[in-house]
Amino acid sequence: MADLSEFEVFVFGVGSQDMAFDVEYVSIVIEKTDITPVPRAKKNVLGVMNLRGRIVPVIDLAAMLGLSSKDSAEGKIVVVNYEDIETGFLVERVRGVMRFRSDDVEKMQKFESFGEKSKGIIKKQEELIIHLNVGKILEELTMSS
Amino acid sequence: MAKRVLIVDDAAFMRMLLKDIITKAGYEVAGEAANGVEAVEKYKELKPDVVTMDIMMPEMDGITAIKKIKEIDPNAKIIVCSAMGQQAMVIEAIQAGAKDFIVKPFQHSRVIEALQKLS
Amino acid sequence: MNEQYLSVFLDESREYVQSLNESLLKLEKNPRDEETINETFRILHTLKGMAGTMGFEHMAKLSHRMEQLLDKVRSKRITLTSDLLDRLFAGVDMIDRMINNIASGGNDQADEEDLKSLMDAFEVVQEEKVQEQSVNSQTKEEPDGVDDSVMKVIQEASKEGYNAFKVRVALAEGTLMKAVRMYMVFKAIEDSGGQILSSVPPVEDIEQEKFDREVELVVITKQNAESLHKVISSISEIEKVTVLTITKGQGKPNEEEEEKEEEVQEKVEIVEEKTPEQKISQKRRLVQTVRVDIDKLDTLMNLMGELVISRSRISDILKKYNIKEVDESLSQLNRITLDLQNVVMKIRMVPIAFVFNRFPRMVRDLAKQLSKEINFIIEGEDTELDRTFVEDIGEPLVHLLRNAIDHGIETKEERIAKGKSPVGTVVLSARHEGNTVVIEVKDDGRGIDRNAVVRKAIEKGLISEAQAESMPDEKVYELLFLPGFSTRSDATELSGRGVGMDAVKSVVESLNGTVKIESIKDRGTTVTIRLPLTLAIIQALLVTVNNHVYAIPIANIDSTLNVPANKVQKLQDRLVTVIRGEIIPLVKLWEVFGLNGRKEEQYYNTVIVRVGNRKYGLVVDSLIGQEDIVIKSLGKIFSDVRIFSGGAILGDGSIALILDVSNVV
Repeated sequence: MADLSEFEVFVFGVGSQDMAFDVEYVSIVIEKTDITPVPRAKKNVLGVMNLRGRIVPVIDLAAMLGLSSKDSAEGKIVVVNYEDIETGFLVERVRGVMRFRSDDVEKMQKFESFGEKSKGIIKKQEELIIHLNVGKILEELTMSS
Repeated sequence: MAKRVLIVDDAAFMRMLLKDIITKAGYEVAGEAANGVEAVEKYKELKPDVVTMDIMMPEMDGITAIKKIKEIDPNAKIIVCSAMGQQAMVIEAIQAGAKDFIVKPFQHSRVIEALQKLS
Repeated sequence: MNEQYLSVFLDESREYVQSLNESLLKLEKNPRDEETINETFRILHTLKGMAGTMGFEHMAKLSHRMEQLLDKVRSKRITLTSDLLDRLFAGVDMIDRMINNIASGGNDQADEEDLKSLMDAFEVVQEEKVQEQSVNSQTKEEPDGVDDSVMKVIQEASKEGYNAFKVRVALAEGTLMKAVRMYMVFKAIEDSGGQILSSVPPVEDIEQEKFDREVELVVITKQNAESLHKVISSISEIEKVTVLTITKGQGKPNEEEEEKEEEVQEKVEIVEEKTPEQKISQKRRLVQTVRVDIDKLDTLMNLMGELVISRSRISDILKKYNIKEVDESLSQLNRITLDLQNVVMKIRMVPIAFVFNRFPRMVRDLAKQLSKEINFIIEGEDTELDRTFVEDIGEPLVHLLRNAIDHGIETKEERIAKGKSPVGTVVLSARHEGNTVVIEVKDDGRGIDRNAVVRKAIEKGLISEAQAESMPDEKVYELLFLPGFSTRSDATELSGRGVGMDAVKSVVESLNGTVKIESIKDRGTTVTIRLPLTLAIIQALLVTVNNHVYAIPIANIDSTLNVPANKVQKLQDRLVTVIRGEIIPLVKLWEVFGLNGRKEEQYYNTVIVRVGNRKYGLVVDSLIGQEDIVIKSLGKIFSDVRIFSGGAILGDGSIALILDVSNVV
C-alpha cells in the first residue's frame, strides 16, 4: 500500500538541476539585488543584502552544493525563514510551488556528495528534483570553522 | 538670531565633526581656524559669539590663543576642547579665561550643553 | 481569567517577592529595623490581597500567615530570630514557586506537605511565649554636622556680614575630567566672592579624582543662597546643586526661634527642575512609571532607526538643490530627531539594579551552604545600561559570584590562619566610564594560583614550558577563558577561577564587551567586564575601500589625516608613519579585507583610531562623512568574521559594514 500523503515544495533551478525547499520555509522570492560582499566571510557566502530594511545574508547555493553555475545577472534570491532567521539563496530560475505524494520520493543513494543537505529525490514521470534539507544547510553555514 | 561659533582645531576631521554637531543644534558656524594664529585673526574679523578652542595646535597653541583673544575682548566666550588626560592643560586654559571645556571624543549632548550654558 | 490582569499580577507579585527578599536580608543584618519590619508587613499584606482577588487561595493563606507573624514582630510581641528568618525566606521561596507555577499556566497549588509544614512552622512561633521587649528604635542617622573649627570661622565671618552655606554639588553621570569640573566649581565660587572653608572629600582627593560624583562644601559668601546656587549651576555637567543655610544656634539669635538646637538646618533647598521627584519624598523615591511591552519598545527603536535613515536621505537630497528656504526646517528636523533619539535611547536604559537585586539572596544562600561568612557589597546599582544587556549579563555574573564565593574566598579557618578577617568580602560594582559600563566582581580571597594554571596549560599542551616562564600574569589568567580549560571537578585544584569562564567570555563578547582578570595571591581576584553603553545607534565615519562603503565608529576615531607616501616607512614589516613624534602603524584596509594589488598612491587617506591606549592608522580610499547609523547584526553566519561588528543600512538603501576596530589592527 503506497503512502498517499501529499506535500508541497518550492522548486527552483541551480545549474541544470532542479531542486526544492520545503514550502513552509520559503518566505519570499526576489530579483537578484545589490549584494554587499563581506570580506573574510566563509566561502559560498556572497554577502549581505538589504531586504526591506533588514540585513540578510545571501548564499551561493550552487557553489555550496559543488555545482557549476552560470554567473548570470538575472538570478533570483529565494529567502528562507528558518527558526526566525532569514537567509537568501541565489538560484538561477524559479519554477514555483509543486505538490507531490510521499511515494514520489525515492530515498536517495546517488547524491552522496550532498550528504545530509538533501532529504531525498522527488521522482515523478520525467521530473527529477533534489529535495533539500534547509535545516542542515543552515547548520553547515553557521558552524564555526 | 542664531549664535555664531568659531571652530578652532588643527584636524579637519574634528572641525567637520564639531561643525556638524553645532549646526544640527541650530547654531551658526561663523568660521573655522586651524591654529592659534588664525584663530586670533578670525576672532578679530568675525567677532563670533562663542569659540571652540583645541589646545594642541601648531603655530600657536590654544592656551596662548585664549590669552590673546581675551586681551582683544575680555568678554570672549571660549570653550576649550581637550583630549582625555590633559587635565592640567584644561585647568590652565580655564585660568586663562576659558568658560567651559569639552572632552574628545565629543558627545553631542555635552557640546550642546556647553553652548547653551554660554548663551 | 483575564490575561491582562494576570500578567500585571505576575509582574507585580514578582516585584514584591524581590522586595521581600531584600527586606528579609536587611532584617537579617538588623532584626530590629522597624522601618523594614513595617515594610515587610505591608508587602505581605498587599500580596495577600492581590492573591485573594485573583482567587489564589494557597498563596493568600500563606502570605496571611507570614503577615500575622510580622505583625507580632511589629508589635514587639516576638523577636525575629535567625531561625524565624529562615522560615520567612522559605515562605518567600514558596510564594515565588507559586508565582512561577501560575506563570507557566498552572495555579498556586504547592506541595501540600511543604505548605502545611511551613504554615505550621509559622503557627508554632505564634504560640511561643510572648516576650516583652524594650527596644530602642533605631534612630536615624544624625545629619552631618559642621566641624567645630569651621564653625568658629563661620561665627566670626557672620559678624562681617557673611552667610554660611553647606553646598552639595553632584556632577552629571559620565562626567569626564571630574577634577577639572570641580575646579571650575571652586573657581566659580571664589570668583563670585565666596570662600570655601572645607570640603568632603578633601581637596587633595578631589584633585586626584578620588570621589564619585558628589562633593560637599562649606562656603561663606556675602551672596544669598539663590545667587550662589545660580553661580554653580551655570557650570556644565552639574546634575544637582543643593544649598543649605548654616545657622549657629547660640551665636546668632535672629529670626529662627524654634529650631535653635539644630546646628544645620535645611533652609533653602533649590533642586534643579530636572529631578522634581526627588523632592516628593526622602524615604522612598517615588517615580511614576508606565509598564511597556518590551516588543513595543523594540518596535519604537526600529522605527527610530528608520526615521534616522529617512532623515539623512532627505537631507542628502535637499543638499543637492541647495534651497535656502528648507534649511531652517531641515535643521529643526535634525534637532528633533536627535532629541527623540536621545529619549528613545534613555527609555531603553535601565538601572543595573534589575540584574543585581537578585544576588544578595543568592550570595546569602551560597555562603550559608558553604559555611562561609561573606560581606557582600553592591555598588553603583543605579548605573544604567541598555536593556538588551540586562537579560544576558545575569548569567555570567552568577558564574563570577559563585566562583568568588566558592573558590575565591577561603574557609574561615584558612583566613584566620592567614591573618585575614574571618569574614570574606565580595564586591559587585557597576559604573560608567566614558562610553562604557564597567562591572566588577572583586573578592579578597586567595587569588588565582598562577602555577596551577600554568601547570594545567602545559598538561593540556596549550603552551610550552618555555613559553610559560616568560608569560606575564595577565596572559596566564587569559588561559582561563579558553573553552574547556577547567571543569567543575578540578576547579578547586586551580584555587580560584575557571569554572565556566569561557561561557562568561563568550556572552560578554557577544555583547561587544571585554572581560579581564586581575589577581594577587592571598589578596584576591577582580574580574572586570566592560560593555558598551548601548548597542543601537552610533555615530560613524563612512569611508570607501574598493568602491564599497564601510563605517568606523566615531568613538574609536582620533583624527583623520592625509599621509604623503614619502612619510610612510617600513618598520619590522609593518608600515608606519610618524605623527607629532608618535609612531603610528598603518593598516591598509583593502589588505585586511583580502583584496590585494593596487597601484601605489601619492597620499594615504588615513583614519587614526585608538585601540586601548595605542593609535593605529587605517588607510582607506576616501572619506565620505559622518552619519548616525543603526547597528544591525549580521547574523550567525558571520559570527566568525571578527573584523565587523555589524552592518547598517544607509540613506540610499545600500549596506555599510561596521568595522570592529580592535579586531582589525
